[in-house]
Amino acid sequence: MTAPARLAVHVGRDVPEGLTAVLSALPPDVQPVAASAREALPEGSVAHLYCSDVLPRRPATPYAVWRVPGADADDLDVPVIADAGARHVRPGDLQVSLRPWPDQARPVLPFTRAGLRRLRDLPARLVGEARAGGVSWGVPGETQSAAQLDTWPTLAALASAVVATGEELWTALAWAAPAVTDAAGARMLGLTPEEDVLVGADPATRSRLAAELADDELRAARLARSGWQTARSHLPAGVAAELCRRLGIPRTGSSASGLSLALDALGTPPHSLVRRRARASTVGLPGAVTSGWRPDREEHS
Amino acid sequence: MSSPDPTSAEAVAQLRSQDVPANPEPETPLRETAARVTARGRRVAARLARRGMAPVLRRAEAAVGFRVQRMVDARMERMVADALDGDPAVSQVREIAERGGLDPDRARERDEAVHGAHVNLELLKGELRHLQETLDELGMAFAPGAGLAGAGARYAELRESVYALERRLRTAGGAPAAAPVARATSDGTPAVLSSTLFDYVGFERRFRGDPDAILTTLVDRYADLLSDHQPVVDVGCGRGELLGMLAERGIDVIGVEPDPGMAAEARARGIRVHEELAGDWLRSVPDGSLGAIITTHVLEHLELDDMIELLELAAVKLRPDSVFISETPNPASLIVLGNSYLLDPTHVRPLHPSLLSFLCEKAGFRDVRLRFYSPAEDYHLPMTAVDEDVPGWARELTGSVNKGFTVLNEVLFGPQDYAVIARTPPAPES
Repeated sequence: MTAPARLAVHVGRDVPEGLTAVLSALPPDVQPVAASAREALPEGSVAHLYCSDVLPRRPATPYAVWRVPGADADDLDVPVIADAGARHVRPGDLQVSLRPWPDQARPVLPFTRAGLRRLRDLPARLVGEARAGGVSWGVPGETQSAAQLDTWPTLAALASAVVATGEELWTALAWAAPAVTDAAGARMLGLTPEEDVLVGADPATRSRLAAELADDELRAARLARSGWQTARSHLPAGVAAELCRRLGIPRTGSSASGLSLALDALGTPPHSLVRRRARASTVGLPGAVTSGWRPDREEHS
Repeated sequence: MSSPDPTSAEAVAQLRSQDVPANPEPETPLRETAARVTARGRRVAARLARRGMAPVLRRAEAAVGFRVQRMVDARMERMVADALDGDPAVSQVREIAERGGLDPDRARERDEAVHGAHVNLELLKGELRHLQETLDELGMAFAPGAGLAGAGARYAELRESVYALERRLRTAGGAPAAAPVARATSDGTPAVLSSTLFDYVGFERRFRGDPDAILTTLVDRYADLLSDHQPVVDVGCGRGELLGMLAERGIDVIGVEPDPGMAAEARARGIRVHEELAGDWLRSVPDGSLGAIITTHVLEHLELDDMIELLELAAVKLRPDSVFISETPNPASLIVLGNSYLLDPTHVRPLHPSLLSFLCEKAGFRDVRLRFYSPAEDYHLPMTAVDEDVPGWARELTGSVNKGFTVLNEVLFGPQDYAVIARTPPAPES
């Protein structure tokens, strides 16, 4: 059995809230250990994570930096992690979000959304919009219906496109809804306009963009995929996995092959029925407009 | 109550149930009226249709649903049975599950809890190490005479607390051995003080006075004597400060300290330290192999039997005509008994000088002598001087008062510490 790879963590006086969450979400084969410049490096350390307020002049490599507010960690050519709620986030920074992932949320792809709408006798082109104190929904250009805010997950899961900001936008992304928001909403969640979400300056523009999105299933699928992936990448587990990847920390297993590994561990014969069923269950749905997206292969374990 | 799946029929029905127009667009009154009438007509028609069709639909649903359900159940059962029976891996899974080793949820929860605890512990260690670095830097920044009254002492106290915490963390996972218990238990049995929370190092720092001054005093008192009897063993050497100063004088020293953190710090001074209980270590060394044994403020922390055993072992392991020194608070001075002795909750019993002398003699030592140090002179009742020309009765009264004061000063404010300095019998002449 191989020893776990160790990530030497150099913390300052105040541990950032997000740091604990990210270290707790490290894969089981990566072990965080406290390190100090005054002591010998813990055995098995393969990389370092410095809080920016204790970053030495010559840090040990490979390393990443956790940007602590008030400390200088700019212009570094290494992975930089911005804590939850950080105001200054550079492109390429890993951004941690401590927002809880909505209950029951799972990616519902546009193809599946359309099928569910047919099944539930909802309009083929359905746009949902979250507003202060409630939601509205309906076919673009027609009279909209109102509902309570607690029905938002249903719209996030089934609508062709949604308009939302803040927490409702987060919920929409969790259900992989093609989303339209304002500039502040995109910035707050670290989303890239035109890639992860569409951004409109005023309500009329946002409604128009959502209506256009409801007509363009392929674009909606790409937007949904990118938005969902970005939101997931901000979760502590996503940040931890990306941190390991960027630091070159070797992984013994990945989520994509998790089922195969479990079957291997159980000594399942190669041509067994259960293996065939496992393969069949992960095959893509024929005819689905997913742009090749396989969310089940992208879960961070 | 769990909320329904947002994609389920119930969730959609809930969405529809709140079906009211949102932001109705401005329309002409005529169109608005027409739309309202049309909508109402549709709703009435739908209600009537539902009412009429409902029993029929319910019957059909029941009949068809039952048949479909039966067919699906039978087919599913067959499929599952085929799959399970045909796959050898399933039998392995069953076997593991029957052994109770396959509860993924519990295993995952357990793993997550362990992982979380580990992360928190590591982060706590990291924080403490950073604090240590900060304190060290701060200590260097304190220039003598900076005008910060008491800041140096407070700083030292804080530093000791942090280092003690770090030591406890380093040994986390084992028994939470606190420094006072470990130091007090020099001979194998548990100390009376059961608290693992008491910060003994911080307590010492606060109430025992300036450690540098204490060390200097100890060296002045015993270094010359010890240098004639090497190697010198300090039982309960702590961080090895005394031995470090003796070693600087070229004296061969050995430390015995059961606390791993303190032993590590003593080793960092370059001192040979045995990290075990004094009794265990003394038993392991050859008889008559040691030059001197010194214990400072240790014996009063021991139970009587442990103390007697330690004294007897010391008498056996020392070479002939070697010295045993034990310094301890002097309970014969009542200000000591009522203050510093009672102040320390880890003290087991006051050791009267006569008792310790007696125990040393019974253990096999010879030439047992007592030395008393540091009378509480600040408290002494002042003597009154009399002039030559005062009347006789006044001189007599003054002499009587002074005599009483002398006795009181001895009893109340006498020497605060004493040491028993005992020797092992000389080697028999060949």
